[in-house]
Amino acid sequence: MRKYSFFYTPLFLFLLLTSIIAIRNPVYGQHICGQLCTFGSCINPYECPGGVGARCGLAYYQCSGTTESQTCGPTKLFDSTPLCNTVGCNNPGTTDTASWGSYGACSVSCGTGTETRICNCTDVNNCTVACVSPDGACSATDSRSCCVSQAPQTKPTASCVQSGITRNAQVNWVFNDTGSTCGQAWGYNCAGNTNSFELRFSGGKSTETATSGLRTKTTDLFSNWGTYTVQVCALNGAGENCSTAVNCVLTAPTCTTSAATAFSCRSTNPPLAATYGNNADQILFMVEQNTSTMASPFHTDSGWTSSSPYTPNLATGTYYWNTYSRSTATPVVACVTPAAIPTGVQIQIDKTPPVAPVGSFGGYTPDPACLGKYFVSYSWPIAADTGCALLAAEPYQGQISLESDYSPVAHDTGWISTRTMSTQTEGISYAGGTTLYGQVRARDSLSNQSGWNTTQATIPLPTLYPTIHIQGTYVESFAADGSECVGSMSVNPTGLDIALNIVPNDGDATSNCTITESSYDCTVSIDNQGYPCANPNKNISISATYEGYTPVEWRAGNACDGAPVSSIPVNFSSNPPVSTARNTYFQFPTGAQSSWFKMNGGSFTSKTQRNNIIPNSAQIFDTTDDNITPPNNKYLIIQDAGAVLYQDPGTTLNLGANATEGFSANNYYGDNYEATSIFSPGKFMDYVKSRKQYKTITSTADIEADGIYYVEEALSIAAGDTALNNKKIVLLSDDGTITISGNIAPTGASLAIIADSIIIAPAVTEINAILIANSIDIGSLDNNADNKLKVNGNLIQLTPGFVNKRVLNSARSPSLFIKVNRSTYLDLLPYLSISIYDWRQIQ
Amino acid sequence: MNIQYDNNPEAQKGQVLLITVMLLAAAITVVMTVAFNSRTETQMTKLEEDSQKALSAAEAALEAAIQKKGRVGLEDLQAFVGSGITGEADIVEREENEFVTPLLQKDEQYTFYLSRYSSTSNSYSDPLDLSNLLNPLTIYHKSEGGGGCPALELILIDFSNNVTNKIIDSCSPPLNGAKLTTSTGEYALKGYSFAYQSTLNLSNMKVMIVRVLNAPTRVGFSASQLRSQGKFAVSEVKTASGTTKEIELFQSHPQIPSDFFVTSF
Repeated sequence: MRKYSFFYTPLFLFLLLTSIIAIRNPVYGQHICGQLCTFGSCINPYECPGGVGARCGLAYYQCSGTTESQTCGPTKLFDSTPLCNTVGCNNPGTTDTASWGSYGACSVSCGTGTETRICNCTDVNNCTVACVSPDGACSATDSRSCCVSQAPQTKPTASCVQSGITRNAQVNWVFNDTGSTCGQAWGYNCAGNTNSFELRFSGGKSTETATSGLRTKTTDLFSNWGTYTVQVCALNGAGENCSTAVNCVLTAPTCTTSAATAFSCRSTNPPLAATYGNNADQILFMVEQNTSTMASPFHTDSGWTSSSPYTPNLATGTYYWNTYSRSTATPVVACVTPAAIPTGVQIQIDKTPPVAPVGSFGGYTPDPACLGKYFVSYSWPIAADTGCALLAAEPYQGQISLESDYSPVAHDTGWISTRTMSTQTEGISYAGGTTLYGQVRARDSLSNQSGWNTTQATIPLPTLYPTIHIQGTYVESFAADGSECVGSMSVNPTGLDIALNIVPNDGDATSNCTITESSYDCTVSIDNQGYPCANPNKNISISATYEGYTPVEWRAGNACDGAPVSSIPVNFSSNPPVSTARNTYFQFPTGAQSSWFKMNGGSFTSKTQRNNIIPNSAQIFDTTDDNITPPNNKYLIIQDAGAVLYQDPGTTLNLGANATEGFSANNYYGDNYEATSIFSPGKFMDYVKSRKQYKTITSTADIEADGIYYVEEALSIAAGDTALNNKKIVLLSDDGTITISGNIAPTGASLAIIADSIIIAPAVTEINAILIANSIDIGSLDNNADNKLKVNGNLIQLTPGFVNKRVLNSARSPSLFIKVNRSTYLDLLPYLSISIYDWRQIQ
Repeated sequence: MNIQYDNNPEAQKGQVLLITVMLLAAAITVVMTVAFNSRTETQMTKLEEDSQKALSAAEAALEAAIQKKGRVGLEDLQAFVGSGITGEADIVEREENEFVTPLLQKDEQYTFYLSRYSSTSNSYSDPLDLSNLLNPLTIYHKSEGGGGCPALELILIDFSNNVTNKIIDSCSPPLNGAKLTTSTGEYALKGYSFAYQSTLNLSNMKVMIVRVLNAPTRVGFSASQLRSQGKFAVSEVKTASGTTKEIELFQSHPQIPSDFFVTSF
């Protein structure tokens, strides 16, 4: 049951609503007049007054000729005019009509009343006419209900204000709503009041629901700012009553921004900052390039934003900027203050560094302290720069390194204003041949820095210093005071060691000496390329050794008596001499060392280490010295030389390099010979005492004939001792000393002196005798009498230590000359001999 | 391995007997040996005594001949009269084809006479003429007692007292005319063996002084005929038992010691 009720209730409501709608919105011509009224087929109750089952909308009949037509219409309601009389009344010329006239005015001016009409007939052709629908005779009346609507009786009172800062208009109006019936505010609408307000403005309208109280409407009515007229009308569906038009003044909100400030040349993106105020809540930063006229689209802009500053990313160039603020209140509109987009304020951006200049090395300035090194300058041209910023006050930085990767950097200028740098400022120089790497960069006043522009260069090698020659011949100098020199000295190149000392010399200077027999040629070179700090000022001295000659030196003026030249100053860097003639002076040993001996015939065994240097310009002892050509040949032993024996080292002769061969051609020598001494005066005396006859003497006056004379203690032989003449004598003293105080040249005599010690007076210059002793003193070291000693016989010191003490003023001659006389031995054979016994058992 | 020990008393008795026999044999051997040696030594002592007596007699005769510078018979010597020892000594000079020096010490020299030398007059005569290439003077030498290569320095003095020096170096080849060519071989001379040989043609020479270098060396000379190099004292004696002794003493001609001959200091 409940279900059933639930079903019919909405149906009922639907039908009711439909009816209401049909009443409020009459539709005409939607039904066929005369058709049976069914529920709902005739909505207007006036059209179906008989209710269901009656006919709808009694037709309004019209005749057109003979054609009848019926039309339903509001004014023809209930027209029951009969069908057209097509007979007779429709004849031409007849006007036989009867029709209801129009309803007269409604009986009320407002609301439901009655209106009446009269059936008007025109009976021209005597036609019987009557009004129909309803049927009525002519002049009959027909009344009906009528209703007179009344427009709203009260005008709204309107006002219009701007809604805040928006472009909305807020229309306010007041309407005294006293009711909706006749005479009341809303008036009366026969069809039913449809009270509403309508806001009318140019270009549109808006219908608003009528509500009680103050009415207001805020709406975006206008697309632009300005003054508009707004009128509020009250409508009830039957009429309207409008307010007086009021103006709506929509004033654009004022948006302010702070003034844009110019940005002078800068390298960084400018922080465009502005404040905005009043109504603005957003700001637009606008940036244009190369023009101050701002026009969208801009070169760049921030977009509407509420933040400030705005930092656009700008490349190098000239820009203009400004701001434009707005309010974001709905509807969104731009502020119009300033009305036009303001002119931009300049921004100058320079992010472009200067072009790094191309540096170049040059200006290699010799380092005075090291001529092979150079102070190096590194220069570059003015850097090209674009952009608003000029070159910085100190726009350049130069670096020099020895490494291509500039690690480490040897020289760094830092930022400087000049366009050159020099290692000289740091006092650093570099050797020729050194490869240097330079780089330079530039910057502008905004610190826009260029990259490095690198360059490399190799310092030219310095020109080699010339090679100079120091050359000369050899001079043999004998006297220490330079009083005697003999030129054209011939040397044995293998024995001469000449070297040049070059001071200072850090390895930069080299010398090479070519030595020939007659001259030398030393070249001096300075490798100022390999040794850049080579000092061109050299002091060159000679260093030479030659077989006992000392010193081997240069002398001033190439003169024998010239002072020794310790060194020759040479400047290689400025006009050095191509060659320098310097004779080399070979100082022959002086003093006791100058003495040298020579032999004629015989063999020699050296028992003492000695320097018996034979001069290069040796002179003969006397005419008996040598008779071969050339006479001054430099033999130790001339004529028939025998064996020469010595031990090296130990008893070396040291004949020097001048000796031709040391001794004459018929010779034999051993350089590692240790001689054995067997005999001595004592042993011989022992032999003599046992095997030979002898006589003991105390002076030569005791000598009577040939024989052996024994000197027990000491004996002195004076010059010209005639006791020795024409005799073959052996003076023998095993323990004593025999002194020879004068020359001994006995006539027709053969003499041998065998003693423990023999002393020869310095004045003695000639002895014709065989001298054999354990020690022999042939003269004083201080003897400057220029007495040379000649021994014609033999000279034998049985023990080591013999010293040739004879010192001559000129060492060119031997101071001791021994002419070995074998015949003297044969003459003295019976005395100066022994016998050898050989015993053997045969059976 | 097991070791068996024999504890049989009979076996131990056999061992004692064996040892006893062996000791007895050893004792007999020692006694016989001593007896034989004693008789032999007695005989040798007798011979030695005769030999010593003969040698003493020969030396005595030799000494007497040297002093006498002529022949001396044992009968002239009182000490040997009636001793049964007979013999004599005499002084002779020989000119032979060969001569060998005594062993010369290093640096000693020997005066070899190439002519006849008269010690009484200290004169020279009759020099050898060995100038013929087929008749040279041949010099031999050989070092004894260690040292280096023997070398000889030859100093020839002619009758004009001119001196010529020569060298014989057994180890070094000749460098110039002063060096004589040396041949190496086995050479025998008067009972001595030599290792090196050199030849030299010469004439009119008084003496040749040979100095020995490097090592003790014995030097030999040979030629078709050499000159006397000294005197020989020869003594020959004979004992009654028949023991004969012959001894010879050579006394050279005067020799100049090399220490007094070679210039040195």
